[in-house]
Amino acid sequence: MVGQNFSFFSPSQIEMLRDRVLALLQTQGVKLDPHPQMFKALADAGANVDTGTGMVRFPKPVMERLLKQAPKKFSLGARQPDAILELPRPDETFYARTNTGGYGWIEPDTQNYRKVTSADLAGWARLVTELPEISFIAFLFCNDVPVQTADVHGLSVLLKNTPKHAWVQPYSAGSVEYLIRLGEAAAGGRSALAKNPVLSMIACSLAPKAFKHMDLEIIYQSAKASLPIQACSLPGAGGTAPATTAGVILLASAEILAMLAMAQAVAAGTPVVACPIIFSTDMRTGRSLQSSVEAFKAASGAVQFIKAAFGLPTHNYGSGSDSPIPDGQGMSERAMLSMLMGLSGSDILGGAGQLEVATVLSPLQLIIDNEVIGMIRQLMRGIEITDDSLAWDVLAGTKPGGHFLTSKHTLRHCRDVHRPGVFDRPTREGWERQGKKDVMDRALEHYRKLMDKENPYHCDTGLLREIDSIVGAADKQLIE
Amino acid sequence: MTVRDIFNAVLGFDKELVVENVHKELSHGTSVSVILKEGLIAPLDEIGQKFTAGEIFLPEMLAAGQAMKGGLEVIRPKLAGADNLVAGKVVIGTVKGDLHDIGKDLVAMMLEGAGFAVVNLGVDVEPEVFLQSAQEQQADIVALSALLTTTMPAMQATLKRLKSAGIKAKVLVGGAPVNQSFADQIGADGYADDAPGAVVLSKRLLGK
Repeated sequence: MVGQNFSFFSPSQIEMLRDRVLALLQTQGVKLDPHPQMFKALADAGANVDTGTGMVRFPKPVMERLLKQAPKKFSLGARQPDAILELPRPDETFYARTNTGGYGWIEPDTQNYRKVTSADLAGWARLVTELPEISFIAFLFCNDVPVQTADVHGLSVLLKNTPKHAWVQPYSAGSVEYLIRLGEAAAGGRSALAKNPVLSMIACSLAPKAFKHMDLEIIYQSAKASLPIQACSLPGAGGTAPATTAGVILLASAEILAMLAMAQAVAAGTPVVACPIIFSTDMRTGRSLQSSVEAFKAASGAVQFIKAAFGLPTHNYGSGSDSPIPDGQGMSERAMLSMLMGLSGSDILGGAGQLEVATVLSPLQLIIDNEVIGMIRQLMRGIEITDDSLAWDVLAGTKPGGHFLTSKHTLRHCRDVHRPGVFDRPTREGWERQGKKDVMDRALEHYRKLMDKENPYHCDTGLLREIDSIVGAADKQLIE
Repeated sequence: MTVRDIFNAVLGFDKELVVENVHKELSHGTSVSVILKEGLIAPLDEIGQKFTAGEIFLPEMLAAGQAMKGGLEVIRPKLAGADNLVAGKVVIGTVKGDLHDIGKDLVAMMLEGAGFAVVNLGVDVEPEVFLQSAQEQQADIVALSALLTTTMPAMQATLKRLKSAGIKAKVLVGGAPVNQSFADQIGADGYADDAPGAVVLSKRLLGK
């Protein structure tokens, strides 16, 4: 696999770091908000739980046992068979997904900034359905729905507009039940959801080394429902994590393993994706950065380490930028990140379409990211060495100074190349004749073409009614 | 040994050395006013200029502030009208429903380093707790922080409570999802998009 050839670490460093992660969990431990069911599950699983302080420590043998219980291969389900995602991806490349959350929107036609609406989210879901390299989707923060149930409304919009897998960030402990109910409705029932998990749930640590009640509830209910859990550590190096790369990797890995342990303690065999989503702290302003070199290096290192040390599927930002606009800086940042995370062996690259440290979304940027991701997946397929690919006979049959344009070998392979969508390579004259368009212009044309079509996904009317009923129940229960 | 050694110790972010040198200067009979102005406040001006020029970073700025505070605590009992040292009183906290604190703590530390007296209420703070603290402290500024879009309404609720109780303090808001437009919409007195900006804004609002 191409991704296994590039590593920041030697085998002995991996082993040392692995020992330190387990030692941190055994000696320093993590702190949980009060959650009686989680405390009990962890204690029953062999963890040392102090229910008074919330401190939980995991003896090494306990952690090793729980790690073995976590499956290393599983699927993220979907409502169309060709949208089901096998992890790791069978062709040894990766999947890509859009941003989660985000409240800002760059209008495609005007490039003006405004707040996201549920109509925008519906369009976003339709766009994702049409983009072949974007494998799954998350909801954005819609500013035109009740804030107390924005997550439930958000997921409902996704389920109505795309069959692709949804990864779900609950905004409150109270929402979790309704989000899972929406998943059950979409999948066709609780046991159908367990067999074909059309949702996976995001649980986050509160770096450093702490877990909020909401995230414990997410892990608890998701494990009970057999839903895959995307265990996210989001440390900021120098702020909520050590300033050094190895230190932030150590912290992120420990927090992820703690969440894995919780999931296995509640329900052994719960699929867990390791998500070391690492930021660095801008030492001039204190803001979090996604696209600093330090964040890149730590994210890449964390993915390489977790895969090598624990064999878990990994997932982190593989696109996105810190720039507030889709400019040259933004394009450079995201291209570097996508390339790096692909080569690092990450199973999922996240953040397609996002700007300004994951707070702003741009449909045109999403279209461009779809192209870049396709190019990097092509890169990740490696270089085939066969008799045919070495072209020995073709070379032997070609005179010195000759050419290969009319050879049958070229004819056979001319369509192996990546075919660009919105990237173009005209001469200057050709570019002028075509109207001097840049990639944003071409992305806009493509956007209009896709959105003018009818939505290829039609949500069953019975499901539409059931979704609305669940959303109504959530609004009634959760809005004070 | 002169007051310049105190100045240099602050620039060197060495709190222990600052404290030691301040004691030495006091024992030599140097006036507290000279120690304060030339040894402790003057280096912060230089630190501020270097920070704006990008020559030093946040952790260094915070360390200089801590070093200066160390020296200040030694001379504080000897200063008449010690409260006049304070640039202003600030009550700061993360609003109800939100547990994120790193940005808020950074703002608190930088305000302290700039000479403000800061009461840090922590996270998940009820509007009534902000109000009570603002009244007890006679705060000049109440600073509200939120990281989550879903907790921004709590900023509005807190602001409303403060205004209805007749609090005269300036109310500042900040945090990743917050912007000037939101601050204007809810009637806040100011918004800053990062910690250094919060210090500049606080000084400006109090006419410093």
